[in-house]
Amino acid sequence: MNPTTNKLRSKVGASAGLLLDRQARAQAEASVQTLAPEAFVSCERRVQEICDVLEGLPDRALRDAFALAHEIRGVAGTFGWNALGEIADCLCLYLDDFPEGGRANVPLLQSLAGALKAALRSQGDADLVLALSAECRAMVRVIREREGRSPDLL
Amino acid sequence: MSLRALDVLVADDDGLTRSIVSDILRASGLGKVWQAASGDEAFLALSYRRPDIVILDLNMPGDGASTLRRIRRSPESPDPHVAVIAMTAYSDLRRIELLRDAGASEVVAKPLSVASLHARLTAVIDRPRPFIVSSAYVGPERRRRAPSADCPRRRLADAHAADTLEVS
Repeated sequence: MNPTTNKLRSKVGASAGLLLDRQARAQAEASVQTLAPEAFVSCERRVQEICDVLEGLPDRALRDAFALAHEIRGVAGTFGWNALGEIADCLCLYLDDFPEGGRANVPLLQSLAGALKAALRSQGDADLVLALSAECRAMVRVIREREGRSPDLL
Repeated sequence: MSLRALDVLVADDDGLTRSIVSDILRASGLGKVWQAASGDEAFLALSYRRPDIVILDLNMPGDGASTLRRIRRSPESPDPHVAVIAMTAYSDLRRIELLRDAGASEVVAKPLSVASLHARLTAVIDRPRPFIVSSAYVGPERRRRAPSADCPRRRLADAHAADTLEVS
């Protein structure tokens, strides 16, 4: 096999591993943190959208709620908002393989929507995060089993 | 000696994610950072921006995996060899394989972090894999490590791959 011609490395003129050092990482992390307020507002808007779409509960609402929870989970993960990410993950766990035409558990969805709102208000409270997310996950696992699905995604 | 020589296209339908990735890239010293909100926009931007690296989300209108296959295989593709880092919120094996088979150079799982993005950038810049063009697959070689002398290639497909290896 011939050696690979490294076009990108030639353009850069040095190892990217050396250039993307600790200082570059710190600069990038600081830069991302400036987006935190915008990200938080975006999560708040999405949580409200989840609450709104779950009020109607047609099949489409479940798909929309899943997509929104999925986005919240990603953004929350990037900014280290653990409570929000964990509870959004619980909502994803419930809705990910939800059977088409099935009857969703409305009290569970309402509880999760409420928990998302609570998580938005309680960022940084580690004990509350742990309790809230553990409770939500346990509820989702039990209800999944009752609905004939495995407690966790396969 | 600077990453400023490299231009990047970020394709994601979520504006916030595009901003996060673009901010990371700019703060890390990369050159121009362009954005696209769909697979079609990304393909178009590839034609007239000619980025060195494309960061492509799997879940967006126009479908990231289809866009990736189009970049690699379409006769209209302006740069089938471009380095593509695929982003996905799902890190299960099935989706990773889908992206690998579509021709991703690297895959980064969400939630995004500066460290994970830097690691993928370093991989595509410092350690690009040989580029394969065959009837069945176009993209970076899917093996991470070359087989050693005492572990010869035995699959029928290996002979075919060796015939069609194009190094870029």
